[in-house]
Amino acid sequence: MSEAGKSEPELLRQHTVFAQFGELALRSDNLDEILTESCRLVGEGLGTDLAKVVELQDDGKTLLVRAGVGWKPGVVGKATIKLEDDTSEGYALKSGKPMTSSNIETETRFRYPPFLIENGAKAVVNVIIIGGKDRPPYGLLQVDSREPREFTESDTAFLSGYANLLAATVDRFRLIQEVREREAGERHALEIKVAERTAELAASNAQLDAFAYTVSHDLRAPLRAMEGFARILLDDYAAALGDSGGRYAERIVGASMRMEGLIDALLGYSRLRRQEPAARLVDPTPIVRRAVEEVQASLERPIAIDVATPLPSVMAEPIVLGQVLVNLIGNAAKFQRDGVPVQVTVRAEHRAGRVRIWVEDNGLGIAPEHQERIFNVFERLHGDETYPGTGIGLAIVREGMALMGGRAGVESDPREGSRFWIEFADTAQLAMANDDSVKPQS
Amino acid sequence: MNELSIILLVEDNPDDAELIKYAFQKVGIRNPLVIVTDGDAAVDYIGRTGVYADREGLPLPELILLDLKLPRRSGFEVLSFVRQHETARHTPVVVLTSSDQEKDICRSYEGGANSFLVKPIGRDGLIDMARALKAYWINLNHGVAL
Repeated sequence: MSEAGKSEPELLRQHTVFAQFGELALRSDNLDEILTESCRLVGEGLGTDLAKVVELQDDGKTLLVRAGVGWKPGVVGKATIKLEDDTSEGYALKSGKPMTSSNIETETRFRYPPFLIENGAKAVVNVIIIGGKDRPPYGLLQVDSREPREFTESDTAFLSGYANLLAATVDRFRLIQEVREREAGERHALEIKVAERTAELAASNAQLDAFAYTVSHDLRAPLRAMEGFARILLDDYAAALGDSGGRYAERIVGASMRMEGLIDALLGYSRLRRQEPAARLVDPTPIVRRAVEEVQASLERPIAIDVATPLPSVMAEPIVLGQVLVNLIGNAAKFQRDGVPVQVTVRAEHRAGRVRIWVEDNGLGIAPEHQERIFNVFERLHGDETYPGTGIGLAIVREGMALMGGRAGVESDPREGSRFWIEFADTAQLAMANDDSVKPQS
Repeated sequence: MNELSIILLVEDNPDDAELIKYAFQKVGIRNPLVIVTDGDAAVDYIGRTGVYADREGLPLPELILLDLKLPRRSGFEVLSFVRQHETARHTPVVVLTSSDQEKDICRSYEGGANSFLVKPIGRDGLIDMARALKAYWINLNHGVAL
């Protein structure tokens, strides 16, 4: 005999059980398998074929037979034990000490659940399976014997040692489960967020479409009337109107034409957001010239606009680029500084393989805190009476450039003016691919 | 169509109606122009119901100019009524609207419209359109005799 009065074969058997448990706990990812196998192993260690793990339920008053070996059907996963003071289970849980009964039939301290007797259990030993840190106990490891049996201190020491290892394993499973649930919850929350954002975007696009439709439909009607009747006055009633009357009627026609331009800009923007123009290599010079002419024509008197030609070819869609340039040059011409002659310059530069076109002015400039904001739709820095506008010009610039694979920005010092830039997608690859087609045919 | 054939203009905007009337005069369209200002009135006129119930002798139009966005019944509903009406179902319907939306164009032709015109901006455009209407629908086109 050695170690607490255990026989060599008994000791060997119990060491083997621990070794097998260690292997099982590492290998298995199934808690029920580990629990069931544990019942078999501890039975083996104590020389019996009847054992079970009972799990303390959330109510704190009930134990469920979670796993077991040697039991008739209807026990494992089903049978419960009500925790009361006069049960050995209750006592074991409360005290945390092993409880043994050498003979249930003659036991006077505790009551035992009927299924125990029905399954032929005569003696029982209970050890606690503790919970994780700050948690209630997981339950009990119970080994039963079909014969009355005196469980020794050595038996309970073995069982307690096993139950502690089991407790660590059970807690590990609980932690994994908690992490999994939390991750699933977070993933679910994220999915909901993505779905919400997608719906919001779709709604804002639908709103923009509805808005564009209303604009094209309803705002154009009074415009037709203004323009139409003013022209009728000019054509058919010129004599009655006289010179000043005629000029005023012309002003009405002019104003309605400008409004038509604004409506076109709005519709252009909403269309821009829905389509994907194919950018190709184009010479921007004639597009810039046309934009300059268009801006000059809209002004009461021409201003100085210099274009530093030649401009290098860029990746663009001509109509979209035209829209972008008209808005940039128009802005440069519009936001003037009182008493300073306007000077607008359009020039290009190469920047890390990309072409950048600058539109520079000596006007009001933009304070740093507004420089990003101004590219948003309907964002305006000035009242309509000082600088009329739709608030979509720069949104068209940014959206248009993005559609062509480029981008837009501004550098500005409020004391000197603004330098807006548009940068185009890299042309290098396309320029090489197009070289053959550019050569004159022989 | 002859010079006595009625043209029905379904148009809720009095400015547009006035401008169309003006353009018709300018290009010499002399047909009587009946103007109704909502979808229900158009249906009543063609179906001889409502205020037009006891107008037995009232001739049916031989050309209908139809706006789409109308108070009460929409232009599409008027179109559908016309196409189901025993006598009027062959009458040419020219949609005349400020919408150039693809879905309106499709729905109009699906509903049996014969032509789709977008109201021109500017007096000159309107007069050009009136001239073309006169040349094609009044002078050239043959309709089913009512």
